[in-house]
Amino acid sequence: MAQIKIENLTLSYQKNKQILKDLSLEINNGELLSILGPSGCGKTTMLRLISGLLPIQGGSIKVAGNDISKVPVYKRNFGMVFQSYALFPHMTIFQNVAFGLKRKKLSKEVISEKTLSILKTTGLIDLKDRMPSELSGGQQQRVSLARALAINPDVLLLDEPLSNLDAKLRIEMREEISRLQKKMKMTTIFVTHDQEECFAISDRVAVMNKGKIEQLDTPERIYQHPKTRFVAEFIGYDNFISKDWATEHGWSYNDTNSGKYLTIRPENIKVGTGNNTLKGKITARNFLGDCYQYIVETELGRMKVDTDNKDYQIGSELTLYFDKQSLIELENK
Amino acid sequence: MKSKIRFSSVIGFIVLLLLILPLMIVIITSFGSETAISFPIKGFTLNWYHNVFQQPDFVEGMKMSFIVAILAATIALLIGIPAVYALTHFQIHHKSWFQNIFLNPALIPEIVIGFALYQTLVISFGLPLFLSLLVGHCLLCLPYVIRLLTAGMMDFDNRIEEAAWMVGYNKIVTFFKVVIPNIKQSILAAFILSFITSFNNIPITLFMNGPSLNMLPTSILNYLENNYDPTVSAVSVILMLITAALMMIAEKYLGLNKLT
Repeated sequence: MAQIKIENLTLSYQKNKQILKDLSLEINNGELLSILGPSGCGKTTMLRLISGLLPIQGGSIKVAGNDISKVPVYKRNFGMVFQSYALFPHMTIFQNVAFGLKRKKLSKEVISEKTLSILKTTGLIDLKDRMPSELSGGQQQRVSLARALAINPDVLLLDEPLSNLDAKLRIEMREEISRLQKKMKMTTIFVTHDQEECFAISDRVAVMNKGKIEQLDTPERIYQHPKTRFVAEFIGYDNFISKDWATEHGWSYNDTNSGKYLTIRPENIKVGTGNNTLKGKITARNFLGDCYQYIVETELGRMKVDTDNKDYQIGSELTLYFDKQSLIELENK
Repeated sequence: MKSKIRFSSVIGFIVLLLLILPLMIVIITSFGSETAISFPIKGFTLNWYHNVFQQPDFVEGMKMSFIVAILAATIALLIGIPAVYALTHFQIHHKSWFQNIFLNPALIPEIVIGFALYQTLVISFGLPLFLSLLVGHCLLCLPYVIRLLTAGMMDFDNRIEEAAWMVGYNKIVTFFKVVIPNIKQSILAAFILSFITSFNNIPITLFMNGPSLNMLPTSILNYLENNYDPTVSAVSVILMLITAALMMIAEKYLGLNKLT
């Protein structure tokens, strides 16, 4: 359990392929910080650098004030959970969890006691004599988590731990991770491409794109006030309005920065007349469960509009109303 | 469609027959009571098997062949395992070039390898026959070892190794505690196949054979030059049995489809 300070981390393959660009990040003691981004944005690379599985090329990583950039992976005392579980196939569940403890100079009784205790907290005690191949994916990931926690790591690293699980297990597992993380006050870095699972359990989220952090904030702040167009698009904003156009048409909006775009969530666009309106033609209607989504072709391009009204006809004209308070200003990008 | 199936199964049957029949005849003649190999046999006896063990050449040859095969397979594994680990784990320049080098002995005629080794190791460097023979057999085994272990290593998720590093084991300890146990089937299969390859080899062995160094397959050839009695059949059957037994073990642990 410790605070992590990442400074100016850089990594490039060959000459011109930069994976991470001068990346700095601080993770507070006991905090669960997520790194959210599309595949190829460098999030897994970053986690591998922190873990020590990849050597550091430039920059430094400090844990509780100590520079660990040159400490080999097996001496870092970090816990890691892999997407593919990566359990030791030739060991029982008990042996898998106890493996890390055996490295530490502890008596057999203490190892056994600690292993059993972590197996109990993770609900695996009944499976302790089974082999990994006899377990379901969800159970295997639980073992993987137990194995990582057993060594009482300074930092817990989670590399897309939920991606191989089906929808129901995913929610169960993420709640389990959250529960254990809070209980043990474990400093945790959680890498994922799924905004829902990361918003649900994170204290803060770092949205990454092309080797850079675009926005670092609480889940609420990111959801309500995405800073850049990339972040907005990644978390489900689909409607973009250029400020120039808005000014030309006499819209009122909060104009506080030099950004070029405004954005709005599909559910915040209303149908109505007055100021801040835009005409368009409905081209499609999709049922989303709790509402209907209309795709409206306008002079600004496609707008997605979520509403309870199912009676708008495809092909008909619609006047969309954009409330000033719902329009979010993006920063220049 | 039906006639096609029948046709192919007839062909298959004929091929099988051609493969099995000579072996069957060897097996049957090994029990024949006449002093010359003849078929069909007129009487039944186990004397020829007894006679195999009365021939010092055969007994010594068998011992020597066993020793050489075990040593050659072991050394090939000791070279092959680290080589395969490096080839599958590290970014190596000219990787395919290295892979070709390791697999090369399988492409060059064995008799050429035998001659070349004889020329260089025995004649030029004056190495003892036994050592030279061992080198030759190792070269012979290496391609099998490399190929089988590469397949085994590819099936093994590297993340498992990383997981062991993460919980505090350095790379060497991890290699022995995590990697080796998980590729042991490939190691066993590679050992068995190497053993068989070495044990049955003639082309290389022929060059490194001498009064002081007697190997079973060459002993059989030598024996045949002077005698034509069913002892040869009997020793052949023994050789077949050893090979078949080892192949069955390999099959049980790995499945023959992976061996080829």
